[in-house]
Amino acid sequence: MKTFNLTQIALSTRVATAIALSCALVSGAARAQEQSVEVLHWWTTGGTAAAAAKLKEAATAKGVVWKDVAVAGNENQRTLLRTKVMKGDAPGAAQITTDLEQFADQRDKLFNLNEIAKEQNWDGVLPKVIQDYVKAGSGNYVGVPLDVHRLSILFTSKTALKKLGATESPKSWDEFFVLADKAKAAGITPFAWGNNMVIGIAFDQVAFSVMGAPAYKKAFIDNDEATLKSPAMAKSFEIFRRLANYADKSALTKKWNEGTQSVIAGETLFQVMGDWAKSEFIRAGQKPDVDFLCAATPGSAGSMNFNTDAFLFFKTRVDNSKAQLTLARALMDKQTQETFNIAKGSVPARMDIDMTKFDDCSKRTHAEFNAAAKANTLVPFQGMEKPAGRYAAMNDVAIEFFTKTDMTAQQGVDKMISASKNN
Amino acid sequence: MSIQNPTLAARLDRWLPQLVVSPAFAISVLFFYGLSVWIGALSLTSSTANINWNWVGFSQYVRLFGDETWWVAVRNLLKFLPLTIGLPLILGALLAILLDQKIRAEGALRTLFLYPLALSWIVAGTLWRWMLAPDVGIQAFLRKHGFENASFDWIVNADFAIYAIALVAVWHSTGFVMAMFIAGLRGIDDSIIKAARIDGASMPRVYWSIILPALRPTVFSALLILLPAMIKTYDLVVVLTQGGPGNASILPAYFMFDRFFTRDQMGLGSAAGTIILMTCVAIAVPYIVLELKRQRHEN
Repeated sequence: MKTFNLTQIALSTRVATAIALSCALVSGAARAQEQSVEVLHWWTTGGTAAAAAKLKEAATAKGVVWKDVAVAGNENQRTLLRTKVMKGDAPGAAQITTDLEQFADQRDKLFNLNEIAKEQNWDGVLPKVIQDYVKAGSGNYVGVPLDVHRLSILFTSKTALKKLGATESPKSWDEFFVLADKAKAAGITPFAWGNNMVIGIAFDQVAFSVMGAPAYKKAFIDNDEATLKSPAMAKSFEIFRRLANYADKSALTKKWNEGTQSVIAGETLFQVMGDWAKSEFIRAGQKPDVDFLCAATPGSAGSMNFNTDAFLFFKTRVDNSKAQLTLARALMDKQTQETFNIAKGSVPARMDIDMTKFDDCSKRTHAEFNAAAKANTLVPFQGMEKPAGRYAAMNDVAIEFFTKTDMTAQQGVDKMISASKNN
Repeated sequence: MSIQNPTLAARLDRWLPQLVVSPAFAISVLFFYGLSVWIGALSLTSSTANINWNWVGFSQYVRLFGDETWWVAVRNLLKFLPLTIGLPLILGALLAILLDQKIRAEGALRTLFLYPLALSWIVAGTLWRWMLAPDVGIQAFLRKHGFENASFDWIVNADFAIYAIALVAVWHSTGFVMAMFIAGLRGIDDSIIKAARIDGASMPRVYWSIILPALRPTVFSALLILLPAMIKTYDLVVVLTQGGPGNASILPAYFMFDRFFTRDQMGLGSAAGTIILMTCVAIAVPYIVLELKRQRHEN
């Protein structure tokens, strides 16, 4: 009997210890989980990785454990994100630029950030278009916008410009073509053409400046057929054709940064490319306004076409809400937006940032961004606001128009309409 | 016990092959046939970025057949297939016959011709992209060496880009076909050839009337490997041209992948995939049946 009891006691103590231990382990694990957020992004190279590190620092300073899942290439990141969300293992936060659309119809999977938005007055400091974007059509804040890259921007080599006896960036397409012809005669490449990405952006910016912000938004974002049919659309194709005529064939295999290098060297006069190209100039030791000009694309002054990188927040399998809210607060913090954007070469998505530490080009971009937000001429990149398939199909038309030199502007318009309808 | 043992062994003998084959069988049923059916089902839905089971009948197929880009891809495939299957067969057979003449350093040459196969499509494609790019590749090389009007710009020329891809595909698979033919040639009994020679047949005649017909199964195997491989060409397009300039060099497999994975049009992509699969089946099945029947007759 006694022995039995002893054994029993020994056994029960052991069981109790085991239970207590495992409880401790579980709660420990839960606590560790609670404070960490898995962040899925594609900032893996040079400047972008350095910028992402600033975000991580800011998060860590607030006590959030940043579980970094960096995937090289945005296509790969998109695929991984989609797979993870589909199988119910969504990351706490994920970088997103173009394919918000696909998560808009899965609103129940998105994480509500209204609490932080109210606390930090997001309604007051973010322009309306960006507010709408990070709400993803859900009515609630579900993402944090991190940066703004201006797309409607024209880079000009000052060295080349001087050779042509000019000093200022062209204000209209007519002025632009006068300078381009002069450049051609002087043996300078007029425009930095390149691969499909370069062609797509060039077409977009021609259309944006020729049609004007409201009509461009109607045609390319709201999918309005009447606007797509309008004379302004045909005019865009005509201007684009004139621009395309400056391309030589071997340019089509070049990447955008090869074009930028050629502008830096003064061998090419103009480039239209998002303002990430600026970092190439800076890295080559050039200064805005001194060695190169950055200005609105001809005819687009007073409006702005931009894209933004945001972190979209998801509900996670294990509840991480405290850490997620802390992370969101840290990301929207003025200090974070400043250091991150200086590192990345973009401008903050918030309108109330002190820009003294930024370069002159960014300062102007930020001022014009705020002005455009007030004037309601701030238009996001079309790919941010519509299904990937439709964007790609319409982009295909621009590229086809570029490669088929016998295609007329009217044929371009017709194809654009059918691409918009069928996709 | 001693009586039972042999029957157990016999039973095991009978069941073992089935047992050993069944995992592979299960895997192929699940991953090939299962997924084919799944894709077929998906092509009847309105799935976009995410899968939904909203049945829309054949409207994805209607959309596919109304899509100009799809027809560009199909037309390109019709230009691409005869070249990339015909040329490797002819060149491979020729190389094999030449190498089979008991020449010196045959081993080294064989390795040399077979080597392209050791490179992945991605590596081979990248090498060729550099060689074909007008500003740094063959054209630039020729111009630097005095041929100032030399022009070799297929890869950036909308009318020729597909042939640039075909060129690389032929280069890549010829060595492999050659190896198959060498194996086939080595399998032919020498005494038949000697007998024909004694009967007064010339060497070309021997090749044409005896050896090539005897290689029929080799041609069959090579064709069955090349055909699906060429129909599903995807990586080469990605590396060499990305489908460009414009859409000039896309192939159906590229179209399918692009719609399914990057353009958030899963329904449309599945429809394209189903059509590609059915094309392969429509070509391969009658050919396999025909060949199997012939073999049975011959046996």
